[in-house]
Amino acid sequence: MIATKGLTKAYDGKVAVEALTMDVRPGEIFGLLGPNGAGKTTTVRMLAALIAPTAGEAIIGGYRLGEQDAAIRRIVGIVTEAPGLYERLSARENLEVYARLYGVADVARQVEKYLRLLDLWDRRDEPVGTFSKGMKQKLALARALVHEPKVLLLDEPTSGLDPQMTRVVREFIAELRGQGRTILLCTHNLDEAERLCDRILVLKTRPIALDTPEALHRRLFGRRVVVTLTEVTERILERVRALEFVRDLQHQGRQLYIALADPERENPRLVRALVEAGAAIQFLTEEEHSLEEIYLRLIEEEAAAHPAEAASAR
Amino acid sequence: MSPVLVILQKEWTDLRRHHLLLLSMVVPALVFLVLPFVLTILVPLLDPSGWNDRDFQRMIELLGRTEPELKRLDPLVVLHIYIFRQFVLMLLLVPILGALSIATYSIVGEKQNRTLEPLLATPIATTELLLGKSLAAALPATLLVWLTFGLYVLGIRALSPPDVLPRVANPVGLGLIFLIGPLVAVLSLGLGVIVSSRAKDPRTAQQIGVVLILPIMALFIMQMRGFFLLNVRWVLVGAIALLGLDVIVLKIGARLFERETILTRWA
Repeated sequence: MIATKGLTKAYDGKVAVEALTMDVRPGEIFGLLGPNGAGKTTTVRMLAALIAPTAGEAIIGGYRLGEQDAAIRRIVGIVTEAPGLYERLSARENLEVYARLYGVADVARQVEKYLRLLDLWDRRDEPVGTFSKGMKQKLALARALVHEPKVLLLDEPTSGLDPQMTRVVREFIAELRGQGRTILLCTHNLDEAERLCDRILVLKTRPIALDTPEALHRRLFGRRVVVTLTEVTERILERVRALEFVRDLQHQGRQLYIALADPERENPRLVRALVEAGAAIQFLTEEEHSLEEIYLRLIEEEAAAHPAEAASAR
Repeated sequence: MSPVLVILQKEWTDLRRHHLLLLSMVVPALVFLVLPFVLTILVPLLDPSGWNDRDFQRMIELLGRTEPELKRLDPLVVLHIYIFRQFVLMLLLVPILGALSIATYSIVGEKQNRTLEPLLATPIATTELLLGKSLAAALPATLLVWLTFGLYVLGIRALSPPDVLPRVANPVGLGLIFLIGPLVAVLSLGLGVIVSSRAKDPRTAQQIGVVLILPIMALFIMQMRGFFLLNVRWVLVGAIALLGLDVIVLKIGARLFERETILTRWA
């Protein structure tokens, strides 16, 4: 649904996004993850045909960026970092303006649909200036959806919201997945990306990694099982080290951290060996890494690979 | 509905609820409407020989050269003609200030409230957006000066001697209001667009845009001192010059009003 190849944007010689290549599948929630200044907003603006790329190409919903920009704008809905609503206009009037600009056939019906869906119908005729930040963000979501876009670009949609409203907005985004819309979610909230995104692209001016959170986890950390024993003896450690499928073994207190290539196949043999060595197993689990750890590892690796850029960014 | 009309309707709904902005347009109009009437009452009262003032005599002399029949009129009538003609010029400040206020608020206000990005993400063409915003500023400003002039005419008819009105609502007066008025409104909004691209708040933009008042004030003072008298030819020359300036200013404004420029280069 969104395909970019070498997409690059520079402002007065300063590169904001470099060589971005990605392919967002229809119906997918695709996370764009990166620190402040990583180029997320610039990417969203390019994909919304708001700014032109310096190099590279992009096709959004079958339309080529730079050649069919008006068509792209028709099929894209955008939630910008600030809600950007007309504060003296009511919620309904705000949506009506956008529905008309997008050429929606039945303006009243669409406006009512989204005001009801986002629980704003009861306050439809009140000036937006009287709304809370969360309500404004919900209205911004309604505005982005009022023309039923195929592609939704969300730039930090929960930024600055309280936890309760953050949850409401996230649940709404998750519901949109079921409607077959393609969503590009720009965030630096790792928890949000982990909860919502099918795949994530870590961006720091240039793309650092693109995959599902699980695959990134495997790529960076491998797969380790954590075995908790009543007591760790030298005999147990020697027996585990002797197993040909064990890639690495570390231990801390009563816990063994064992790196395996294929835990589903190798765990039964590992357990058998441990029991034979006299181990009393209390727990055996697969080690989990949060997206935060994955993200930080990727950013550190990127900084190590490009130390000069990392220093100037600081 | 055409995108231009959508923008126009949105701007006017917003304007109707922006009481401070409305006041900033209506108050100057009221002042320039009422002040000449107050002066026609006060000047003779405060200084019964006020029309013997040197500047006034110079003006009468100048008027007499172009309009000899004025010499035959009562000096009080001439005083009324003199004051009301002067304030027709001042009425031109109404479209200038009005268009400038609306244009700067409409653009800088959107910039401040960060409403431009979602608006620019819609399929609207930037020319349509600029046209919608320009009409939203120029039309009310022009209508306001026409309405004020209408009340001005009614007031003169009701409160001044009958010889006054035909000499105020003459081709020069009508040319100023109905030809120069819309042209200065367009110039003002064009300048408003240009200034708004750099200004961070509407007030700064308005302060910069107020330079447009200076030529009107200069004309007012020159005419008041009897150095210069506007006639039909000058009005037409002024209209042509303003038309040229309008085209230049709108072209610059349109060039600045591009999606990428607005999002990345505007202050």
